[in-house]
Amino acid sequence: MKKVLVVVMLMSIVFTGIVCKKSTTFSDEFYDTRLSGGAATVFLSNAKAFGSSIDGLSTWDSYIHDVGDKLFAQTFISSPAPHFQGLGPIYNNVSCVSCHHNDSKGIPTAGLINSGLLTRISIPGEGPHGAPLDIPGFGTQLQDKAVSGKTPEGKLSINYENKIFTYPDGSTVTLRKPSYSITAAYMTLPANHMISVRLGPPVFGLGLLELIPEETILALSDENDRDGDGISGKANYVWNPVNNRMELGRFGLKANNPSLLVQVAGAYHQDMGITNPVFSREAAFGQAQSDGLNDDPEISDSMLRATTFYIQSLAVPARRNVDDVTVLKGQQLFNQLNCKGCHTPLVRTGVDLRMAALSNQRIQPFTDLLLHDMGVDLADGRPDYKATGSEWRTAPLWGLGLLPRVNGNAVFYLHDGRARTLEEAILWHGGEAERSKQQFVQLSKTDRDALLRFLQSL
Amino acid sequence: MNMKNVSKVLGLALLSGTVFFTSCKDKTPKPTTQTFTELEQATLTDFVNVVGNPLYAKFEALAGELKTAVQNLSSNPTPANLATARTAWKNVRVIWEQSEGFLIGPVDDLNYDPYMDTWPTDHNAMDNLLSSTTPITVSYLAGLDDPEDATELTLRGFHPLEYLLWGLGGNRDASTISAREKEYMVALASDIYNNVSALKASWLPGSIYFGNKLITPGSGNDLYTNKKEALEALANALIDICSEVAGGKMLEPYEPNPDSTITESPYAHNSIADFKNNIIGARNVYTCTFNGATGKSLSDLVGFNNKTLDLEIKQKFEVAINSFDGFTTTFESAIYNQRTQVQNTLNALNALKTSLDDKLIPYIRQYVKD
Repeated sequence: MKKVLVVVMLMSIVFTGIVCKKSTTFSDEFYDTRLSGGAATVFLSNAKAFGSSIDGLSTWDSYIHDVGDKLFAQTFISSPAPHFQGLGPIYNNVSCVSCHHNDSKGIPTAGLINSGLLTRISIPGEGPHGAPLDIPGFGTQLQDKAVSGKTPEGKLSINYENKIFTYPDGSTVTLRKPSYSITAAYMTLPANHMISVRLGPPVFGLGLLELIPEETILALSDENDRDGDGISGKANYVWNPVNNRMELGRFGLKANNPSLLVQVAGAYHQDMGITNPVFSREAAFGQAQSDGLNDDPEISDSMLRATTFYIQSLAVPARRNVDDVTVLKGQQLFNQLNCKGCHTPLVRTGVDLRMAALSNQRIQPFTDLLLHDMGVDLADGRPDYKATGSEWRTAPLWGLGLLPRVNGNAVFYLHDGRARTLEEAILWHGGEAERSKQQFVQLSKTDRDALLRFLQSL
Repeated sequence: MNMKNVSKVLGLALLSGTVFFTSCKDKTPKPTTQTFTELEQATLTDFVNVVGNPLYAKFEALAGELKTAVQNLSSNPTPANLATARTAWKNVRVIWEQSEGFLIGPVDDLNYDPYMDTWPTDHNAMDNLLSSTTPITVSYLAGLDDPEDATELTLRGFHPLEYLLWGLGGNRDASTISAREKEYMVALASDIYNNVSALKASWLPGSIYFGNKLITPGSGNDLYTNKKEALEALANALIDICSEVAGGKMLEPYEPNPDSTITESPYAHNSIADFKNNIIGARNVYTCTFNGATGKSLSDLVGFNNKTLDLEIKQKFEVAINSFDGFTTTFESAIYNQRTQVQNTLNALNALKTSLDDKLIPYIRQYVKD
């Protein structure tokens, strides 16, 4: 018995020693670099790699995720109808999944059933809270489809002009430069209208991005380029109609949306013409296409929030081939060329006691969520809150290498899908990214390929 | 132990086995046995050659029969021709629903699924189309002349045709089919046929040749860089269809309140057959069985190392498929009057899905290394 007591006492001393030990920072070398989304990572690399829910959801949360999943895939139809009504009267597509194939992208066309482009429009000046100014009779988004009996606002015309880029080593790449115009407008457009064409991005990992603390994002900004690296980084501030205040913009290709709820509500409203509790007035209100029905909002608050929760709780696919020698070389070049100056590799999310897999995670989104001047070639010339006509929000790079599988090989990059390969996408970079691009151009073919291999491992 | 050492040990084991059998002088011919790696390849190859391609070929043949039957109905709208067209619609639905047991490749990537099976139908749009003077042709539906002029997905595919053949409540009378409805149904059947043909072709030699991509995983393959990915894609397809049936198609009309207006094939009352064929299709993938032919399968692959798990999965497939025989009425009625049977089927499907999710996927990840 004495022996037992001694053992117990010794054990309790050891135990006390352990629990009293002061916690230390977990060194980076102990992290698994495959975990792009921290605990919200899924090890899946096939066509459905963007569509998995995060681990650890409660039974109720799983149910809401599944409800949102179905709504995301649901085709909506014109009113009146017993279910899933509310489409239009003017719209861009009939479901979320039409533009976000497999929770990813669509294709850079407009007006087709699988088109992923949308066209933001406005005239010079500022609307309420500094938002882009509506075009009378059109609003701020061109709806290029209409339910039967109604007229679309117009069609987006896209023309590509090839231009050849030549490397110092003599090899060439054909880039296609788009030009956009609106045709078949249902009424005269003002001559000074501005067009910003945007391809819907993948929707996984957004719950993590929403949890990045505002101070973390602001700490990455360097609006006046004090460090002299040619990269500034500017926060956008936009109106949140739910909270009735200006907030930091995180989502949308110009960081023109403050939250996933507003982003999703806006997509229902503008892309599908479905009114909801956040945007309860028809997009065609006051226009000839208005349906005149007293049925708004056309989806309930619970439907809107379930859809939002669905994309909040989509996991990030794990990186692949992280120990491959070429990939590691590419990673080194990525840092050396200061691509990471905007595509921030590592960020930590804030705390959310309800969503453990999202909370306090070390993630690798490769974005700072800030606005950067990308040069004249990528400029749309249309300001969006504080974003100028040549500024775009840094796109996250996670999942990049899986896009060909998820999108069935129809992969297009950059804000309007003009780039057909990662190489083309890099070569379009300008403005704050000009210096990095020029360094990329000067690399040997082997090193350029290594950098691309690294991107494909994300 | 690295793979080289494993190979060495396996080599010694095989060698000693040979010596043992030789010394016994057993003259009985031994069945050729495949290594696990060979079985992985055979599973992929046989799936494409025994299930994928033959199923799509049959799908095309039946879609052709539907097209002919609808054309006959349009030319001669008799009750007999209406019945034939309805039967042709149900026959082609059997294969379509079975094909949903493997929604991978072009059917998903190239949107053949929404082209043919978008739900729900849009009555306002259908009524407006029928009352307009727009010529309703297959070109018009599919936007063959100008993709921007394609009609909305809700106006295409099986379900608008189902509506025209059965009508609301299944009360369609052949003699009341209008000229515009005939025009529309002929265009719909042609559109379905064209999509099925293109889908079938996408698996065969040609620009996409998806069947070959599934058979030849490797570093040069843009979809599957190794066999594990390809086999996991097949396994995930099984899980997806179980989730779709148990978590969507059956559950939504059933809970929280029964609602017969959101079932899959409400005009033809074909929903139970649709669901059952989905799971038969998944079982056919698991066992590599179609139209009387069989091949090496996921079942063989699982049985190689874990016969108990293989039996469990096969048994759960059978329980789930047989559970549909418990219904003695349409699904639209069963959600009100045979709720116990609905719940039994949901339970069976969820049990099957749990085994696939929790055991089949981990099995593939554990054993498939190339």
